[in-house]
Amino acid sequence: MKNIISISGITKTFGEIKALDEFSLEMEPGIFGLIGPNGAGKTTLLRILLGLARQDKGTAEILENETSGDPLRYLKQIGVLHENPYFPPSMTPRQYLDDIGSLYPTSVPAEDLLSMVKLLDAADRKIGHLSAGMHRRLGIAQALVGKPKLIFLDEPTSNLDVSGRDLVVKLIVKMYQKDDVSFFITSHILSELERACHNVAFINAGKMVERGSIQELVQKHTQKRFRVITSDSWTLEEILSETEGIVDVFVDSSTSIIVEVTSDLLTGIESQLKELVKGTDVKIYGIETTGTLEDVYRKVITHA
Amino acid sequence: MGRLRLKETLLVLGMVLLVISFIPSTLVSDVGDVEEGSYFGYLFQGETNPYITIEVWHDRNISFFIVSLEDSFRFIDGEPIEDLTILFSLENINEYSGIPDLGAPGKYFIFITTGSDIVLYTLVISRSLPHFWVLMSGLVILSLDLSIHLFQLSKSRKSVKNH
Amino acid sequence: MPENRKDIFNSIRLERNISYPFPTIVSIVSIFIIVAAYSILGIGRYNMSFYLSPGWNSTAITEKLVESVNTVSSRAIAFPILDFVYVVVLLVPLLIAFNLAQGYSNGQMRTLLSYPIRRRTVLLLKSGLVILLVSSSGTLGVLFSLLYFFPFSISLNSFLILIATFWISVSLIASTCTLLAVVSRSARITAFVGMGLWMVALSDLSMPYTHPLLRYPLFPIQVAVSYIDSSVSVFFREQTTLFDVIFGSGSALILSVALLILSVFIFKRQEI
Repeated sequence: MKNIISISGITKTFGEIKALDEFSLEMEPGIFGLIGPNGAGKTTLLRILLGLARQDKGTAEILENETSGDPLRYLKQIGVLHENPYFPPSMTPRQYLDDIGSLYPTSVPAEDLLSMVKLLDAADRKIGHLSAGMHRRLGIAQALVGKPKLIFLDEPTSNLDVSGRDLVVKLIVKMYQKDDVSFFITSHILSELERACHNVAFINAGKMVERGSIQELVQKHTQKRFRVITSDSWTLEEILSETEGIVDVFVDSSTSIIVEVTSDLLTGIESQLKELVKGTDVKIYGIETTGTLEDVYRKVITHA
Repeated sequence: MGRLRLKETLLVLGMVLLVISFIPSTLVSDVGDVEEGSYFGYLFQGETNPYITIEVWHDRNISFFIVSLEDSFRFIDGEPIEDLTILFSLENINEYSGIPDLGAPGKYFIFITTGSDIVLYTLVISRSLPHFWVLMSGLVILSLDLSIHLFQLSKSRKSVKNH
Repeated sequence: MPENRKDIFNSIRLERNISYPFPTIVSIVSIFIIVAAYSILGIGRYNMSFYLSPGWNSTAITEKLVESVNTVSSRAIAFPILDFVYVVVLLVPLLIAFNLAQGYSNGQMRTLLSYPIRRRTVLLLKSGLVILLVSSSGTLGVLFSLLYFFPFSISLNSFLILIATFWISVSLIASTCTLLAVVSRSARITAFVGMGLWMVALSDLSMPYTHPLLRYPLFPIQVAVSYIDSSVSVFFREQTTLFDVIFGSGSALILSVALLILSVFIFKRQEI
């Protein structure tokens, strides 16, 4: 499969600060998530990809077009939602979508887009009078207007309530499955990326620190993490924190505790734990492997 | 949307015309002196009949007459006053203020003369306020705006009733 | 890859809808209509008068009279246009500041440039629409007032000279502010420095002691008014010729085009 984004050794500095440091990435068609803390270089990377900024070194290609060349070659085939986009407050969503739709060779009718993002009721209200959530949904709609092959979404679910976030995630997955549209998403809300993305990459201090499919990464970084169902998680935490071979203990609830162990403890973990609580009132009812993208984030970003 | 813009545009335009129709405008303002056998001529252009004020100083008298531009050329060329079409005239007055009917719009001349020695006078010719055609245009536009508003109101009431 | 005419038309429509919502346009046109009407209504003070003493020279007086009658409508255009310049040096920097410079900070530029529009098109549309809106509002204002207060007496020659130099003056002020906006990327700096620079220039460099080589290109409108209305020439103690008008307007036009080209050059290389 051809790469739709190819980034090779991009470096970008702002004075003394290295925003991107020999950053390389290849993205095949699909839904891709870029994860990193604030100031990691996500937005700088996005700006370079969109031709809004220039790299000091390295090359980037979108849909086989060099980003340092004529951006119009690929801007007609992509959609973008910036983190803080500007939509003219005096226009209505319908009018705005009609107007920007006319800039693309082919476009989706405003009516269809507004119904897709559940904004049809506010189609003729002024954008300045929309709520933050509606504003965000309009942002999603305008990214879809030019029937793009690839869409960049920078924090697409910020300002959205639970149902709004759900709508966006479902829309992303549906558009990929039905219309073959690929997505490049940056977000802080990892649970949504976990639901939508096929592959993710972690960026920290301008460098790629990890990448792969969510399943691979979770397995790789959380194979030594378990959720223990117990009668008393606080006492169990006390016992485990003094035990050798336990890397991390985290009380999830009064009856559940997350434990990370070293490789030595990995075999027969349940019997070993039961052995540890012998002679105390604490009971262990069960043990299960656990691991989310958030755990991977903690591992590769926070602990790094 | 289009009708809303038309309505607002008409409202703004109508208000602008109303404001303009009340801007004071002086066509001629002069303190002059004239003596027997001489004339002081002033050219003015009015789209409506002007408001003229003349005050003569020191209890003396003057005469004035208003003619069209064509007649003023003839007068300057030496044609006697009797052969001209005098649009308005007054003789031996000490003061005057009023709106003579000239059949405006057009360019006119007012000639001032006296039968006595040097006479000092103040002449002010203003456009009469409000500027009639501007005011009328403003009112027509505002009425049109009001009609659209009432039409929309009755239409929306009907649709609520039907609902 | 050149943009076709449809793309440019669509970009103009988008820019108009983004930057000039309905009340803005009507307000600007209204300002110019009022200023034009106000100026035209005031020109009566400059109407001619003459004294006929016994045995007057009818030929000389008739000549003077004909000249005065012929120039009255030219003066009627000249006065509002001189007043417009003061409105323009306040309005144009503000419009460029809000529609162009502010786009850097409120995300408008980033959003716009993520659509398939060229940077050059964005910049030229933003400043071009300011020029078009202000100039055409001024022209409309003059026409509107002339039709009301000096019906059927417009001298086409004077009208064209004054309106052309007015458009060129607006272009020069707008292109200066465009460069300022692109370099400073700040709405405040564009508005205040733009207004300040032109106000100072207007009050200082437009005076008779400024060398014509500097004054003519900066204030082509003043040269045109001076050419049309001899009372201004008297103030400057100079005989303004048509060549002066062409020199002033031509160099102002070249200067504004050069400033716009420089702005596009910088804007194309800027990081947004």
